[in-house]
Amino acid sequence: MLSIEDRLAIQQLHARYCACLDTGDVKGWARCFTRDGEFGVRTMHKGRDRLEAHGAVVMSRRQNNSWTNVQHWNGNIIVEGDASGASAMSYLAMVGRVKDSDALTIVAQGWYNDTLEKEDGEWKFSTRRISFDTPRPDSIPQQS
Amino acid sequence: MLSIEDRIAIQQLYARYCVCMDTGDMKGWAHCFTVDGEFATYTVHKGRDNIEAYGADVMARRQTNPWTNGQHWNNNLIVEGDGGKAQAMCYLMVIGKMKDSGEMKIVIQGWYGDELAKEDGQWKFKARRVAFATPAPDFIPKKA
Repeated sequence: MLSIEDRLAIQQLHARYCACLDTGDVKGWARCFTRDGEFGVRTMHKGRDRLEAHGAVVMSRRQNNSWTNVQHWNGNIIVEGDASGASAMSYLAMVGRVKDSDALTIVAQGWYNDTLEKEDGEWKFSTRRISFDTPRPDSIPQQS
Repeated sequence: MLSIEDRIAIQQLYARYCVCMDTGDMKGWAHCFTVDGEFATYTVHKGRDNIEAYGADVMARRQTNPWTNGQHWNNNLIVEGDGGKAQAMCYLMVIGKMKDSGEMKIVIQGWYGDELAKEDGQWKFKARRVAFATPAPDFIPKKA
C-alpha cells in the first residue's frame, strides 16, 4: 500500500514536472525521471541524458509555437501501487497566451500514463507516455 | 520536514485564499496573510490592514471587468520547508463569464511565488508575489 507520504510526494512530483518543463529547467525536468527513465509520445526517449537532450530540443522548438507562456495543468491524478512501485494516470490541459491576439486559451489536451519508482528515496517517473486522444478504459490503473 | 498535517493545511490555505477572493470575503482573504504579510502584484501591499484595504479596491474595480463570476484556479502546488516556514509556488488561472457573450474564458494566467509561516498555529502567507509571464527556473522552490 502507498503511504500518505508517498502519495503527497507523487503529487508534488507531478507539479515539479510541470513547473520545470514550463520554466525551461531542462535539468530539473530530466531529474523527474529515474536514471533509466523513459518518456515519449510515439518515439520513446530512454535514459536521463537522452531525456535531457530531448527536453532541450522541445524547449528550443517552443519559440515556433503561435503561443507563449505555456502552462501544463494536471488533474485527476490516479495512483495505485505500493512502496516498490506505482502506476498512475492524469489529465493534461496546456494553457498558453496566443501571440497575435494575447488571448489565453487551451492549446493542447492530453492523458499521461505513468509508472513510478522510488530511486534513492525519491519518487520518480520510470516511464511516462502521453496520448492526445481519449485512451481506452484499461489505461486507468487498477485498484490495488 | 513538513508533516502531512502541514501539507494538507497549506493546500487548504490555497483553496481558502481563492474562495475568499472570488466570493468577495476580503477580511477572510486578508486573514490568509500573516499580520506583517506582504502581497506583491502590480503594486506591493504590506501588513494585513493594508492588504485588506487593497482587497476592497480590487472588489470595487471588479465591476469594470468585462467578465463576471471570476474563479481563481490553482494547480501544481510545490511546497518545501520545515515545521514553521516554507517556500511554495503554484499556477493560477482565472476563469470568468464574459459579460457581452456569456462565454467562459480564461481571463488571467499567473504564477504565485510564496513564503509561508505558521502564526498562532495556522499556516499563512508571509509574502506572496504574482508573476504574469513565465518566471525563471529559480522561481521553483529547492528541494528541502
